[in-house]
Amino acid sequence: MKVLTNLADDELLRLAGSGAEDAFTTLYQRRQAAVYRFALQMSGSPSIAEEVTQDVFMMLLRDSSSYDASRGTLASYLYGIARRLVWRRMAQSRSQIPLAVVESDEGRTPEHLVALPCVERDLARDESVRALRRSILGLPAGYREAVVLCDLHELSYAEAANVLGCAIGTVRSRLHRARALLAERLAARTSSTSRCLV
Amino acid sequence: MNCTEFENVVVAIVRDEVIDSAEHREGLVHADHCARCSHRLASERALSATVGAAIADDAAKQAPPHVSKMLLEGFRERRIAGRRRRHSWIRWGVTGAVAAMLLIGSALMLRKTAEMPVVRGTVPVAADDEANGVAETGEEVATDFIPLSYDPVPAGTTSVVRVQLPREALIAFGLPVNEDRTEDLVQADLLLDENGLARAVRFVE
Repeated sequence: MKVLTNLADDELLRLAGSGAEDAFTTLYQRRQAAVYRFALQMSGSPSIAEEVTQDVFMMLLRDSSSYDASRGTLASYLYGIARRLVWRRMAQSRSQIPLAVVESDEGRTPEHLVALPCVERDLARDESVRALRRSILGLPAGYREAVVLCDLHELSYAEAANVLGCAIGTVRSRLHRARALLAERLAARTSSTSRCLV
Repeated sequence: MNCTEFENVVVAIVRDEVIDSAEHREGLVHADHCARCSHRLASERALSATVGAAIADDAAKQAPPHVSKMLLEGFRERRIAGRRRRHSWIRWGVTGAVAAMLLIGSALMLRKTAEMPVVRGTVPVAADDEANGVAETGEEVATDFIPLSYDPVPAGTTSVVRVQLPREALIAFGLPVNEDRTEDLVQADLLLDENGLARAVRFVE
C-alpha cells in the first residue's frame, strides 16, 4: 500500500482494472472526498452525495477503459461523471432547493441571529458559511458549477472548462456573474443583520 | 480606470489571479476613489473570506465508510465474476480444441481410407480359381494386395485363391466395418506362394 500511494491515478486505475483491490482502495481513498464534497455542494443533500460517490466509482470500475488520459486528469473525469449524476439524481428526487426557499431562508436569518443573546464571531462565521451554501444552491446550474469547481474546489479555469465541456472564457464569465450574485446576496444579508442588531 | 473596467478585473484582483500588475494597481486606486467600486471590492473580499471558511469546513467531509464498504464488495463481486468468465472461456476453449482434434483425426482417417489403392476392373484369376469356380467375369472392386508377412513375395510362383471371410476380418487390416454387418461374409483373394502359404490378401466387392 505504501508503494501504491506514490503511483499516479492512471497507474492505480490500470491496476484496479486488472483486479488489484489495494490499488482500487488507494485510488478511492485519494479521490472520494472531492467527489463527495462536489456532489454535496452541488445538491445540498448528503444522501445524493453518497449515492453519486458510489455510482461514480462503480462506473469507473465497470468501464475504466472509457477514461482517456490524453483528454484530462482522472480527477476532472470523475468530476465530469459526478456532475452528470448529480443533475440526474436531483431531477429524480426533486430535492433541489428552489431559489425562493433560499431567499426566504436568508430573510429569516436576521431574526434568528437577533434571538441569540450574543452574536459571537464563530456563530457569525458559521452563519455566513451556511448562507453562502444556501446561496450557491440557489444559483442557476451553470453558475453553481463554476463557483463549486473554481472557488470551493479551487480548480483552474482550464480544469473547470474540461469538466464542464465548455470554453475557458465561458467558465470565467460564469464565475464572475455567479460571484457578483453571491456577493450581492451576502452583502444584503450582512447589512440586514447589522440593522437588526443595532 | 473607470467603473466598468474595474468590474472586469475585480474578481481577478480578489482571487489573486495573474493579471497585469499595472491593471491590478489601477483597480485598487480606482476603488479607493469610488465609493461604489470600493463597496464592490469589499463585498468580493467578504465573499472570498466566506468561501475560504466553507473550504475549511468541508475539508474533513468525505463519503461515509459504508460507501467504501459497498464499493469494495462490488469490486470483489466483479473480480469473482471476471474469474468465472475466464474459467468458462478456458473450459469452452479446451472443449473446442478437443472437438477440433477429433474432427481432424476423423477426417485424416477417412482420407487415409479413401487414398487406399483400389483396383477397378476384372480380377485376374489363376487357373486354379477357375477350377474352383470362384473367378467370374464382371466388374469387381478390390483393394490392393495387403502383405500378410514382412517377407517379400517371391516372384513368378504365386497363385490367387478366392475365399470368403467374416467381414470383421477387415478390422485386422484397419479397414472400416459396419458394426451391424460383422457377421456377414466378404470375399477376398489370397495370394499364395509356391508352398501354398498365404502371402497377401485383397478384399473384393
